[in-house]
Amino acid sequence: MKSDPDLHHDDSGSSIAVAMQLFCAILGPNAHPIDRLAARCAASDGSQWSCQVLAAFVPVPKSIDGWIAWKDMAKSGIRESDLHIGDPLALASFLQYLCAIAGALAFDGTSISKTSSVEIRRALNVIGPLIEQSWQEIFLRARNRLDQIKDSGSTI
Amino acid sequence: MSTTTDPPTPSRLFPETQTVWIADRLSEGEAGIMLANGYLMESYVRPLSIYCSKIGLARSVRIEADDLVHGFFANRLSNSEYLKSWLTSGLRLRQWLRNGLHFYVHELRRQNATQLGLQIGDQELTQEVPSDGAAHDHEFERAWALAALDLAMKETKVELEKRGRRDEWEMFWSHHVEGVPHAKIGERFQMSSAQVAQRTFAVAAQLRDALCGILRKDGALGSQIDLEVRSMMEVLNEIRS
Repeated sequence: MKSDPDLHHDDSGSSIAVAMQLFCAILGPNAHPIDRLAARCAASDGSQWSCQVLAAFVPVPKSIDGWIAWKDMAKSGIRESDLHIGDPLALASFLQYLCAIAGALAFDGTSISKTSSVEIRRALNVIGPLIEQSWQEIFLRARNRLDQIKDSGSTI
Repeated sequence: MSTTTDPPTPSRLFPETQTVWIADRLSEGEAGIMLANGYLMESYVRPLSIYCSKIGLARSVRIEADDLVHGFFANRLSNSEYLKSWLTSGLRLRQWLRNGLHFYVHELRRQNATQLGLQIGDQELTQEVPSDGAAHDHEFERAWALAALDLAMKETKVELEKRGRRDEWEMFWSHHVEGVPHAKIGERFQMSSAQVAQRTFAVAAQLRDALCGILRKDGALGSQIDLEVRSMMEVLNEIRS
């Protein structure tokens, strides 16, 4: 997108993605990593980027141990300081990390992260629609699992 | 020389007072009121107009959305007390204007009905659009978020251009929007990575200051700016999902 867009007259998804990136720039290190990741996924080359990032994550695990191994691998690539400035590699690892959490939840409702369910729900809601279809479905199942856990009164 | 009618210079240290800029303009008499009105038109016509189009408010009075909003401003801002009433309302300026626009539409509908010799009840008057409060709020907040950011961008670019530093906007854009690493941008502008990082950081701060100025004029407290920005992002995220 050109560097002098009219965010209003160009009322497309790319405008929103640009706005998100600009808001992240404004917040600097205070921008939430989920918002940074959302802005990255929604950018014009975002779906291609997320596909490439997630293509490294095959085959999809068939056990909780497998999802935990994924999560641990992803987590090793996340340096907090890099994540907060939107470093592409840190964002890629963060996306893989979220996918591992979603995958485990969708698999059998197990939470493999200490992150609060509120944060996980937000990540599933915000990032889910921005990634490829097969992962969207996993994120949706994970969100349904979270709802069931909430309805049954238990915590994760 | 600085005059009392200059827009406030944004600063990282904001006083914990709301509505200062518009209150100051209103205290300056005719010239100040004109400046405040001009600012309102520049900042709020577009989000209000988009809101009118999206929720069908303009259709309900058979007027184009832009014409409806311009008519609303012309009608209300011709009364010097209108903005003074906002100062004591406790509402954010955008909410005040949106409410005012709905009242204006009620008035138009009543006028139209009177001209046609129709009897129209208060209940019918308030049903100018199908009721979908939350979704309508959302449309407006979204339009407002984009308008405020757009305005902040324009202010920042104008300021950079005035100082002959348009290149710095390009650097900022390349890094934050296009995701180009500092080192690569440096090759294009014959600068070190650190120099590019310093400049993109400075532009981000300038954009932030411009947005802060807009939010403060809308009635936000200086200490709430990060919160405000986050809620704007939330609105955009929700639309997308």
